[in-house]
Amino acid sequence: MLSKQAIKDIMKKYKNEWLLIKVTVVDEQGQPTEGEIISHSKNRDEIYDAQKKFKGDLYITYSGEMPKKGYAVAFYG
Amino acid sequence: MGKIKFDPEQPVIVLNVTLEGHTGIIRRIRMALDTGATYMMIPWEIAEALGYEPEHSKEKVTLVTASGIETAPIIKVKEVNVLGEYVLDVPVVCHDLPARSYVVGLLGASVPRHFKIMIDYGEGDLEFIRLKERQRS
Repeated sequence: MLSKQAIKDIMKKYKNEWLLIKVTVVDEQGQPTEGEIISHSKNRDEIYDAQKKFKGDLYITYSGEMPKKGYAVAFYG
Repeated sequence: MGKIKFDPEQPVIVLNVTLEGHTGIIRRIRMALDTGATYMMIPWEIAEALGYEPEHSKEKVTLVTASGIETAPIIKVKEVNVLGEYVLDVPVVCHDLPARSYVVGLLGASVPRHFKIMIDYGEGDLEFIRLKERQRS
């Protein structure tokens, strides 16, 4: 059985991983604050695939920092 | 009005954005704010989970990337919520970002254009204030 945890605790527990979390509580701005971890992986595509099996309200995030020093970011679209 | 603190030392501003499809399925994803991008961008897998079929979309956009020119479908997501403020029927490009971007998608101008956006890099404050003329119909 999945257990509810604060999102910040889940992020600490699974550091530098992609996370799939079932959302159980959000704040007034819709930010997830509590949930149940469904899946975690270093491989992002595993999380993308896993979320397709579930309906409902899921949070997909990365628990590490953005690109390390020495990296610059350029997006397109 | 939605407001959040961000870390000005980080290379991009990251937000949690909520997308709701026409089936009622919800995905909350980590996105980079990119007001220079024309559209929001989400992975195909997220679009499919929300109940859309990107491969059947008639609307397409051409993307110029580091690896060449690609064509990507545009879908209309029923509702997008940023910091408690929502926008309906948002055009969204379905295209994967590199895994090492560490975000799931881009919050391009198709959502921010509905808001006055205040970015204070000194204090690390980001504020979305809805433009009256673009309120939900």
